[in-house]
Parts: sequence; structure tokens; C-alpha cells
Amino acid sequence: MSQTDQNKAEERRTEVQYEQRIVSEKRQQNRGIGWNGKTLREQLAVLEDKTEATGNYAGLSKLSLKADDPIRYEQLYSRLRADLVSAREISKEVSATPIVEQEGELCYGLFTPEGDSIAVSTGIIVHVHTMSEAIKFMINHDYEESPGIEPGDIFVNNDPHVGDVHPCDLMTLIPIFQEGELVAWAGGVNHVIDTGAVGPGSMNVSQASRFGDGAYYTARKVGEDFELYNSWRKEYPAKTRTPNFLKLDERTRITGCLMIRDSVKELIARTGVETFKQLSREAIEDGRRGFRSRIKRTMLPGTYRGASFVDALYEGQKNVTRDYADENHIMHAPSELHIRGDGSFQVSFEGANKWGWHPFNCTPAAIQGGIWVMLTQTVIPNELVNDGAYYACDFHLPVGSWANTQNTETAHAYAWHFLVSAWAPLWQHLSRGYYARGFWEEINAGNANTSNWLQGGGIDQFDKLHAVNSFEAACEGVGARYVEDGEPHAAAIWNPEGDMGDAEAWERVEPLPFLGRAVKPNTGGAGRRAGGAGFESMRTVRDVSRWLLYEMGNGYMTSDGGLFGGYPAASGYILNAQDTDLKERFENGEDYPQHDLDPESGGFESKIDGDVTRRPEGISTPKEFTDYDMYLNYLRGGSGLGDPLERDPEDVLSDIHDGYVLPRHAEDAYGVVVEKVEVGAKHNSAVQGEWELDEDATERLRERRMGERAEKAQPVSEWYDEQRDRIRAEENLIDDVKKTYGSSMRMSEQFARFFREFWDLPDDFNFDLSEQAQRSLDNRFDSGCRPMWDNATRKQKTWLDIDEEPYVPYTWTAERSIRDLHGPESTFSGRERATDDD
Amino acid sequence: MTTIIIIKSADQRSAVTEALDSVVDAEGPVYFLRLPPVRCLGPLVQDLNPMIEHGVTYSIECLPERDDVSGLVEFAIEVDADNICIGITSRTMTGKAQIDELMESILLHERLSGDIIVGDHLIVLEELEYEM
Repeated sequence: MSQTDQNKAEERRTEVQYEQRIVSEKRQQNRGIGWNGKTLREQLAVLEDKTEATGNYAGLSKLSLKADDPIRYEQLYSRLRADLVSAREISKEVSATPIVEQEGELCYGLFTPEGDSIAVSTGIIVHVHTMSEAIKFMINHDYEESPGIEPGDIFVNNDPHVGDVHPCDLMTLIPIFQEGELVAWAGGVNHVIDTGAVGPGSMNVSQASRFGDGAYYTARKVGEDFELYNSWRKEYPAKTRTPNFLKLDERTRITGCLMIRDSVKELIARTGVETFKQLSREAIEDGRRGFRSRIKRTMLPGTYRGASFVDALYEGQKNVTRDYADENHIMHAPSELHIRGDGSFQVSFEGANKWGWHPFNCTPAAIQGGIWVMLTQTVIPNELVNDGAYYACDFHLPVGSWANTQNTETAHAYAWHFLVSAWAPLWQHLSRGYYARGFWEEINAGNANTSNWLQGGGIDQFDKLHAVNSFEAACEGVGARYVEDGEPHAAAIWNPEGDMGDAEAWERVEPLPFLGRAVKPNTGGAGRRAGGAGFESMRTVRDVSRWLLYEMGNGYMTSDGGLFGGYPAASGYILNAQDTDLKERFENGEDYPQHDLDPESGGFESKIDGDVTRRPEGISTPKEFTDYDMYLNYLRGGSGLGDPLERDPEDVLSDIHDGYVLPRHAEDAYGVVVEKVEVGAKHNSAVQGEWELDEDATERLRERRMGERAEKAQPVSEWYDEQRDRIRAEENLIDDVKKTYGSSMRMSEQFARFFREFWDLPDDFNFDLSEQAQRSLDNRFDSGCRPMWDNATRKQKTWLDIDEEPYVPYTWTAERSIRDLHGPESTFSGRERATDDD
Repeated sequence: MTTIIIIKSADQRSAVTEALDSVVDAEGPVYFLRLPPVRCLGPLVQDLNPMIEHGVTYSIECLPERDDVSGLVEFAIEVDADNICIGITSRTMTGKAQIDELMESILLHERLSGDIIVGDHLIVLEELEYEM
């Protein structure tokens, strides 16, 4: 440590000792660590009471700090936010894992004493609210009494049932005191490589319950006086395959949190603690108003509806930890976005099906965090990003569904699989609103299903027990925009700054040399505007023993439907080759597969001998790989927008040369006829060859296609009759589909009623399930609830299925028709014309 | 009308509810005064939500010592309280409310006078007047 750092550390310790003395004196006077002698739980209770009673955060009807000196207000807030970003940019260099150092899977937040986020850094901003829930958990479960919340304390959490998305996002929280009062919390969270689950990696897939998810650290104190307990230092490294990486990750988080603490103390020293307190309150109310204001300007009031599905197939997979988990799952996420007259909104997942014996279940903290990360990229990119939005929304998350299990037996290692898929319609709801209001530049068809996740572990090239978790999934294709194509291989929904990382950086920590990396054709959804293309990496294995690898993503199903006639992004598949002749090919200088750009061409198989596995699923359980085996890491594309037959043929030609579309699919998807005119030409892609457009043939083909569509088309009423008869007869309906709908009907009377009425089914209609499917549902429905929270917060009551839940309209009714649209009187209250600044 | 509600033991929900229903008015303010050994009124406030349910503005204050009547009276003078409410914690064999030491000290304090009302769950000292 340098002298400057030593001085700084000593200064902090002296400060903390002073603060601890004051806190101790206050305790003897029966005073809490909250403001004006209140305990934190009192402070949270009063805040919630006032916020709900007045409709303004903390009862603030006037933002006096902002009104009196708006420039200073912006300067103070910007200073805090800039310091959060600096904390992230600097501290991520401490970490050894490319997940943090390359890809930036790290985020910091500054929170009020009650746990509401004031500001967040860049990075995995889903955590704008998860750390909030963790703080509120500690408050509402009386941590101030036991174990105590003191100056210099360090807390950790990774439990989704407390406040997190999944257990591999470890968070560190430190309280910030001023004269014996807790004035704020600093929090940092990063995604770790390995959680010590039953399979290696950060998000294992083969477990049936929480008890295979890995180590859980449920909101616990792990240090005092800014020093970690020896007991903690000795405990957690043994729970992971990658202890040194986790240690450095922890130092990363603590580094960032201390930097944030310094920033807050410096601001308080400059402006006074009362100004800081006022700023922290006003920023959240400002965020709340900004959110509602944006909703009013960009959307129309009313209900937006959609549904999404995604597959999680386990039947017949090896290494599933329990026999009763040997089944297939399909997530069903019907969603309604109710936008109210005051610009607040409610997201309802009424009709969502039951949680499952798989690690894709979600908790409310996960759902809410996911909504923020989506909203910050869409609705509120230029408003204050903090928990103000949390106070402008409420959620209806059916208890017992995959969205809100309220059962601490459930596994959550990769909650994102269902989260990202469930949000796909929400992006499109927002886009429809933007379209109606004329904000066409904001329209986006959605984001990619963020996969594949390359994960695994064993004994690595350094003869050490290790795990890997490639974060190339941070770089998926983005959905098409109304005004432009989607960005290829650009970002992930949960981290808009995503980066695929340098191949060399991954190779330093993964015994998986790259054989090739290229844009993957036909991954972005076709459309007038094409979805951003995904990419792929071909990897081999080297210098390992008892090494496991597996895949995780969507396979049979795509959760990302296209928008306004655009096609969905391509779904995934698995490609491995084992027991190969790759070593001999290297030694002999022979050709070997670097890509799988055209899966149907046989190109891959022509260049390698071995046991090739191609499967249409997206999930596999850990399987053993040895040296020179091969693994395709296929990262998805985004969905398309608009009719592909309306795409400019010149753009399709560019797509071919850029490697986004295979030449033969130019005709299939786009009705564009091209001819190869040169073999040897190279482009800035994996594509070799030059094509030219045949304009006349294209025009004729497109006309023919329109004719074929007209011929094939049928009235909706006819289609409806066919489908209804099919459902009644349960004809060509696989058990997994029936089980999915059966589960939703059992979860929700409203959904069941809608389903039966819409399809004109008997009142007592239920799907006839196989014995196994029925047993599976019965097991899960009979499991009941095992909630984590004893004392809920006020906002949690919006999804706790109790009488105080705000009214949740249910608009999926059979008799509703387009003629039931609201009249012109349905508008936002207090509306104003949009301005140029909007 | 300014009201002080003294909370000096764990189970005071009924008393506080009665005070909010029958004594305080929406003009407020209400001061919840927490005395030892009570460490936290958070659960009570979360349960009752005085502002949502009763429309009152309120704050939570604390005194360091349970038996510090002078401090309590000073506080009452400082906020110009019109009422002081204390929960009934014990009753006679015939069910009558017993005046405990704290209430007795308040009633006998030379700087304070008022009318005493006994409710179902609490005792109210109202129409307070102060000797400066």
C-alpha cells in the first residue's frame, strides 16, 4: 500500500472510531442510527406511510433544492453520479475475471438510509433496485438490533429472495455515517465466475432446487471497521471453485464502495449534511416525476397486452439432480401493461404458470430489477435513473408462479432465462405506444434472448480446480429499430455497455482456445429493418482433466417475436464435437472447422471427424469434454421489424456481404434474387465471394410471394374454428404444451375463464394430461409457500396477493373486441403538448 | 391540535389505535414519544400507517430515560402539546385502569395541568396548560 493509501486508510479508521463512539452514546440514550434519533425501521415505516399517503416520495410536494438553484442541484447530482461511474471504472481494474475487467459486469449504487437508490453507475443496472431490497430486508428484520449496523460495517448478499436476481451476483453494502447518523448506503455488485453449485460455473442448470444453486449469503455482516472478519475470509473461498477470483471481486466491490463513501463525505464536507439529505430525497422524487412525465409524453393510457414463451427442456438429459426434475418446461408469460391516467404503470403477469424444478425461477426483486434495466434504455434514458421509477410503478406477480415463487426451495441460478423472455412483449408494448405518439426513433423490436452461456469447469491448464463462464453473451444482436436496423453483436438487455471481450483475455482464464469468431448469418430476425445479427465462437479444449461444459439458452422456441410484421430472431441449437481428430489436423496442417455459419451445409462435419452432436435444444446439463473436443458458442440476434418483402434489396445485398444473411436465404426470407459473380472476393466478414442483385427477378419474385401469401391466407374466423376444434379434441398437442396451459389455468381463475370462453370450451374444460405431467403439477402446487420475508415493505404488498394490493384490471376477456377501444376522453390527466426537448 | 402519544411498552397497538381514532385530529401534528425499554416503533407504524389510514402528520421522538418526567414535560412545552396519551398497562382487580408512576408524575408535575379522560385502552390528559 502506498503512503497515500495508508494515510487514507488510517483517516477512515479514525473517522469510523469517532462515529462509533457517537453511535454508542446515542444507543445509550435510546436513540437509533436514523435521522433525529429514529431507528432505521421507524424511518422506513414513516417514509412509506408518507409516500403512499401523499403520492410523493417522502411527502415532498416541492423540490425546493432544485427549484431554488437548479444548476447547483444538477451539479451536485452529477458529481455523485460521476463518482459512482468513476468508482466502477477504477475498481473494475482490481478484478481478475474478464467478466468484470473486460465486460464490465459490475455496478454501484448510492442508497438512502431506507434503501432507495439515489443514483447508480453504469454497468449491470438491473441492480438499481435489488440492493434496495437487500437493505430493506436488513431494516425490516431488525438488523439494527442484531447484528447491529455500525460505522465501518460490511454486509454481503446474493439471495434473490432477499434482493437479487440470482446468486452469482454478489453484492457488498456499507453504511455511511455522519455524526452518528446513517446518511446513506454504498453498494456494489458483480457477477462472479463460480458459486459453488452442483455444477461448475456461475449459473448451473442441472439443479432442481435452491440446494444445488451454490452458496447463498443471505444479507449478512461480514466485517467491521472496514475489515473482513477472519471467519468470513476462511468461509466463503471454500464454497467456490474459484476462490482467488472471488477474493479479488470482493476487493473490487469494497474498493468501489469506499470510493463512493469518500465522495459522499466530501460532498457533505462541502455543502453540509442537510443539503445532502435534501438532495437524496429530491433526486428520487425527481426521478419519479420524470418517469411519469416521460410515460405521459411517449405513451397512451390504457392496456397493452402480449404473451411470450420460452423452452427449458430437461427430459432425458443426463445429470439432472432429481428424477422428478426430468421433464420439459415451457415458460408462459402473459403480460399486461396498464398505463394509468397519472402516468404511473402496473405490470401484471396474471396467468403466468407455476415455478418449476429448474433454475430459471424468479423473485420480485429480479422482475423489478429487470424492468428498470429495460426502462432505463427505453423510457427514461435522459431522466434520473434511481428508485423514483420504483415508486411510479407497481407489479402484479402471482404468488407461486415462476415470477414470484415465494418458496425458498426454488432454484434461481439463471433467472434471466425467464426474465428476458418475459419482457420481450414489454419492449413491444412500449414501442406501440411510441408509434402511436409519433416517437418513431424510439421504437425497438426488442432485445435478444441473451444466450448461449458457455459455462463449465474442472482441472484447468494450470492444474487447478477452476470454473469458466464466458460473457460473450454480453454482446447479442439488438432488435431492429423503426428507423434503422438493429445493431449487430452489440449489447445485452442487462448491460447496455456489454462487450464480447478480447479473445486473448478469455483464453488467459479459460482452457478453451478460440478456433474462430465471426458474425453468424440468419440470426437477426428478417424485416424491413433487420434485427441485429448475433455471432459465434468456435472453441476447443486444451490441457484439462475432468472438465465439464454445458449450454444454456433458448432452443426450440424463440421468445423474441418480431414487431409490425418482422420475423423473430433465430432460436438456438447445440453443436459439439468430441473424440475428434483435431490434433492430427493441426499437426498435418489440414483444414478444420472455424465456424458453423451454415448449419445445414454440412461444412462443419466435412472438416472434422469425431462424435458430432447437433441438437435443437438450447440447454444441456454438464457433460465431460477432453482435449481437442469442440464447442460452438452461438450468441443470438435481435428480432426484426416490418415486412421483409419491404426491405430494400440493396440492403439485403449488403447483408449478404456483411455475413448477416446466407445468399440462399435472401430469396426465402426477403424475396431477393442475387447471383454470385465472383468467387475470391473478400469482405470485412467471414464471407468470401461477390454477389449482384437481379432487380427484375427480385420484383417478379416478390410479386409471386405476395400472391402466395394471398392464396395461403385464411379468414381469422376459419383459423379460429380449426384451432378451437384442435384444442377440444386435444389433437396434435404435445403433453408439454398442455401441461403449460394447464398450469396457467390452475394458477389463475381469470386466465382459465378467459381461455375457456375465448375458445368456446365447456366450463369444466381442463387438458387431459399424462400421469407424469399431472404428478409434476400436483407436486409443485402442493409444495406451498416458504417465504423469506417475515415483515414485508409497503411496496411489496403490491405482489403479495393480499387485500391491500392495488386494483389489477384483467383485460383478457373473450368478448373484448377492437370496438371496445377507449374514446377520445381517455387521456392523461394534466397533459401538455410535447416539446422539442422531448 | 397537537398530541403526544407516549409508548413505553411493547404491546401498545390498541392504545395507539384508540388515540388515532378518537383523540387526534387530522390537523395534527402527532408526536409518538418512545420511552425505554421500547427500542423501535417501526413495526407499530408499519402496522397502523397513521398517515395513510388516519390522515395525520406525525413524527417519532425518543427520550433517553423512562422516568424522566422533566424531559417529557419540557418536550410537551416545546411542542405546545394539547393532549398527552398513555396506554393503560395495568388494571385493578375490578378492571379499572391503574395510574402508573409515569402518569402520576405527569399529573403531579407543577408546570402542567389538564383534564384526565380514561378510555378503553388509554388515558388522555387533555386541555393541557403550562406554567412557564
